[in-house]
Amino acid sequence: MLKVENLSAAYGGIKAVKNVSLEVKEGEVVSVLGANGAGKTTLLKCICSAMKKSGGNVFFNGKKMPEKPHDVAKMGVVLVPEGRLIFTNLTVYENLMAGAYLCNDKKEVQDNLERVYNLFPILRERKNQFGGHLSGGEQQMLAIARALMARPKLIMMDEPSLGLAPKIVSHIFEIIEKVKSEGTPILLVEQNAYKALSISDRAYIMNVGEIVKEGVPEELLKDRSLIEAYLGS
Amino acid sequence: MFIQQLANGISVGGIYALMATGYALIYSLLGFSNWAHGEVAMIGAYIAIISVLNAKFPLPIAIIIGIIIAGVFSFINEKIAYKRIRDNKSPTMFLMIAAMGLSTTYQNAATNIFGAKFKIFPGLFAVAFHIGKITIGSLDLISLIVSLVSLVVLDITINHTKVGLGIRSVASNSYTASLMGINVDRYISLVFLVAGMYAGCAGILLGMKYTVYPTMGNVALKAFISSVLGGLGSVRGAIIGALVIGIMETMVTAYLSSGLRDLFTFMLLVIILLVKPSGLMGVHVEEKA
Repeated sequence: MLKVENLSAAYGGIKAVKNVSLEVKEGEVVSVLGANGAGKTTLLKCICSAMKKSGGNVFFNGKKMPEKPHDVAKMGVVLVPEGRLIFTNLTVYENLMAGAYLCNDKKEVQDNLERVYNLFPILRERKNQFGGHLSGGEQQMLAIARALMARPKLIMMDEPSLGLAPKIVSHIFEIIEKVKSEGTPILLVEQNAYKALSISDRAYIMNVGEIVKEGVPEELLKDRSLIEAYLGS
Repeated sequence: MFIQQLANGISVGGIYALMATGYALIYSLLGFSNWAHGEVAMIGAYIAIISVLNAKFPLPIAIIIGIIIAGVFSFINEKIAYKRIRDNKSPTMFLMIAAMGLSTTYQNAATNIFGAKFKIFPGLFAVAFHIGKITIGSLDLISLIVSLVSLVVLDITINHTKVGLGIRSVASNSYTASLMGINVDRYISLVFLVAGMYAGCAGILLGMKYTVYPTMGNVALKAFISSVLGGLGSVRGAIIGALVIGIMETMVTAYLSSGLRDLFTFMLLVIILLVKPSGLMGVHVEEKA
């Protein structure tokens, strides 16, 4: 459903992403792995048009991706941005409602809210607190929940485990698996390679802007030298 | 006497609030002080007075024309000046400098086009209403009602509607808002339009209360102080700040001397910046993580 063809992007003269092609099919969880500076975040930003690409094309369900990020969201592609970026001075409830911005059916929004509260009971407890007053893990849950409120056709997550304690990371990955089991395809960008591979159907490994390897997790995990070279042990 | 002055103060404060709220909204979205906001009020006042004096429109029609033109004017300002700066991802300081440039340009343009003379709205019916012990002039009563109704409508819209949630999301983080499908540019345009209309309304009310002249937009400084007093970027804070300043000014004028009026206003600004820089209603949510 998502097809990226020869995508390139640059900051000034520095090329951050070079000729990257990848694909996410119906119901799949696909990871893009790599160290800092591999160009993973830039890749996601280009896919959702938050950043201008210098070359290549992005197609979603056969259609070319629109050029404004809000139009990309209208197509059903939602990004959970790096660093959560929740609305700190809005309440948890308001954050979720902002996520459901494109949905005009009140009944559907209510059902969705119920579903999201069941996935993240802590958010129901904290619904009237300011987003900025949540802990890091709760903010990450809120960011994912907010994206789910949009009923996305494809959800992209940028480093959901960043800066979180191991126990919280495990919890976040459990939730990602739940989202997967509901059938929503996920494009996941992670540094935490083992965790990401454990829930992925396929993965791409990126290094300095290029995809160096593609495969299924079992295959990638067998190749010790690859893991050590690009992902750290 | 005291209640009387209080009523006058609220009336003046209401007018300041009409400007201060637009000012606060623009600050909350783009993070800069729109120094051309006062000139929008001035344009609104001029359009209305010319519609009455030269085009011979009835006063209510002239007022509506003035308000609409002020809104459109503010909207166009954003499109021709601020939007380009935003699109180039330049520092917000550039926005403020551009606004200062626009402010000076419009003041001088107005002097050239309309002349530097004071203009007076003709034939204002001056009836005094007596409510209990208070005597309030018809004009003050009208400004009081108009500003309070507009402010309540604005407050409800911002805090309890989907459009309001959109505006607050953009103000909180425009990048994330766009990821949620919120059209950031459209909301910014909307805010400039509405802020312009409110400023135009304030300009016309001030013009009717006093006179219309090219530098009357300098009153926006009071709106700025109101906004800082209430907490920069907070709409409710701007309303409260404006009422505080309006009441204080009338009280100082009534009990001390009109010459001390601005001294007190600016002193209040300094004190608030020293004691509570986030303002009376400033909700600064610290990020935990």
